[in-house]
Amino acid sequence: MTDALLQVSDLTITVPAGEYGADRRPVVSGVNLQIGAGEALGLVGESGSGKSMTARAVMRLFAPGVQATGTVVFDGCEVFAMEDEQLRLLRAHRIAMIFQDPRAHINPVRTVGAFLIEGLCASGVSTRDAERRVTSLLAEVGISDGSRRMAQLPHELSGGLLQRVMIASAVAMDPDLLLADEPTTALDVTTQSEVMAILAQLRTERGLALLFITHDLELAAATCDSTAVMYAGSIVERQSSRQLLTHPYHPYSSGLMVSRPDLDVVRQRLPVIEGQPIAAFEAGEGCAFAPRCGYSQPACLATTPALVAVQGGEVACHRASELQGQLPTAMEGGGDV
Amino acid sequence: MSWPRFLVKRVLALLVVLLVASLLVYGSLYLAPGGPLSFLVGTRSATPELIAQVTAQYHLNDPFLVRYFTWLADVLHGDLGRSLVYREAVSSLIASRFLTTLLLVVYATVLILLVGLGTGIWAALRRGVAGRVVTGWNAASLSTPAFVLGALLIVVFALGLGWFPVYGSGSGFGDRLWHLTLPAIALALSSAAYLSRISSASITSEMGKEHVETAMSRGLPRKLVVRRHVLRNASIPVITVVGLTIAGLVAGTVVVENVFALDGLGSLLVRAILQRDYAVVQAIVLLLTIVFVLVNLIVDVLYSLVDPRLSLDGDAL
Repeated sequence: MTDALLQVSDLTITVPAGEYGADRRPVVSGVNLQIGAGEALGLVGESGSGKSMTARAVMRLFAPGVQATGTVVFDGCEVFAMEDEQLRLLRAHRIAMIFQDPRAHINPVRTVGAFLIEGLCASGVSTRDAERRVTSLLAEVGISDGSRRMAQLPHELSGGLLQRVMIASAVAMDPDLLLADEPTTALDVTTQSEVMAILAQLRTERGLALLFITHDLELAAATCDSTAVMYAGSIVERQSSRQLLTHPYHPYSSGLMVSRPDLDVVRQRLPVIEGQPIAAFEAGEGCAFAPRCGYSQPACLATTPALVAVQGGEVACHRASELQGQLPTAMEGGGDV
Repeated sequence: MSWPRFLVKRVLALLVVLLVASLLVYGSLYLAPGGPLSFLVGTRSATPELIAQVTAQYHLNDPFLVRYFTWLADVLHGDLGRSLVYREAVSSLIASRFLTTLLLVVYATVLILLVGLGTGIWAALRRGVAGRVVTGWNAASLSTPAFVLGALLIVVFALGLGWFPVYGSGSGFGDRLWHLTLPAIALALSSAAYLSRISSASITSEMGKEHVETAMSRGLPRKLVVRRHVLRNASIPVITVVGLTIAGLVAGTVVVENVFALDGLGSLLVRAILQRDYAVVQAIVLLLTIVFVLVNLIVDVLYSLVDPRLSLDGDAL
């Protein structure tokens, strides 16, 4: 697909390691993904799987020392090749990001209003107009007393309200793509669903494309058109969300679904994926997931499986065709009671 | 709490501090070994006339608290007593030297702010070689005591190159500034290095904060991010250091004024202590306390301006 809004190809990200940062360790390796205009893609993985780094790569938002190779093409422009000013305008107008912890990600010594209008004012909108626009945006994200809230400081607002403020600030510039880095992880469950509903509504109203990062596979699948699962810095499976929930191709996707407790089944112990998740640089030869996989065979440890097209998606598993249709999902009950 | 209430509260607190300080300053006279009389007479020959004069002047036959309140009442009326050595009112002794010290402290403060903040911000924002040069310079500056630096400056810039006078305070504003340049550098250098380190560390840590990442992700111009989010937030610990440093400078003048033979409060204080001229010592120490407390008040006000999370209630500060 060449007409995708966002096309990430062979993205590899390394961070400095060892004494004086002489060595470089990969945290993301060979990631490909694409998002069409108005589409939503869920990116699911455990901590350290490289999903946040992948999202930051889309707007080249790296800490000093982080290096990335591969290409990120947004609306025909190569993001890694951009001049600083071009990149700044891309961040200001086209791509917006919302973060996991709004309390840390909003300057604590400035008012909520100052935070909200900052982007608009920096691109030439008058303070008065900017205030009017964000007040109506606040109403859209369910904050009716916007003008009062804008005079307050971030610590005077609850986490849920603050995340709504963050969302309002992200859509204030009318971007085409929204990167959401675990926007609901720091919130309690009821607030979570409210925030997700707001995101879904804004997306349909404004035709926003969304890259939604989460460790909650079912939340991603419920929100997004398609879902990609990351493990150890690589995408191991991608298919439409609907199909992923019923027919996972990768044992890891299946394992994530089985580990999630059902509301109507009493379990003494929750089923888990044995072992610890690993980072990209810890993966040796062979399939990175093989040491934890209940279906691994000697061949899995020998060579790294490539992401290959299967019916309705892509999967990186040597045994995908054999296991097709046999992997358990949470919906079918999964493990023992 | 509103600003007027805050200021009234702080001024009342200042008065309490001064009252306690004055009691300590006055009372310490009686803690000196040998009792106040021998302390006040010191090494001078204790003729009956002198003893009678000192006893009468300091009301040494009255009970302690009575003497304290008499002294306090005099101080409040602007009468700081008479110097035993100079045979002159303490207030006029101090007044003529206060300007020199004030000018020296203000000059040094300006140097500290310019050099300290300048190099600190530069090192933090540019890193690399710039950062290492500043770090090395700061380490050298911090480990050079003011009296060594003062002597060095005199040897090189006054005696060697002849750019600056060797000693003295000068007359007229420009001439005074010229005379005070080397002393101000000697007084400022290590504090500037300290401030440079603190501001550099504070900025570096603020640059890595999540809210700065947000600002960058929103495509704000880098200058705006640095000014509005990095420097403002980083200034909170820096204000503390600047306040303490300036307050400490007043005490630091004692050394520098002696090295450069400046006739200021610091050198007067040293001489007064050596000559046991207690009325002078009391007055200067009281003055230093007032300056210290005032600087702290200014720091607190600045705090609540920079960080609105700190309410004007004293508890949060």
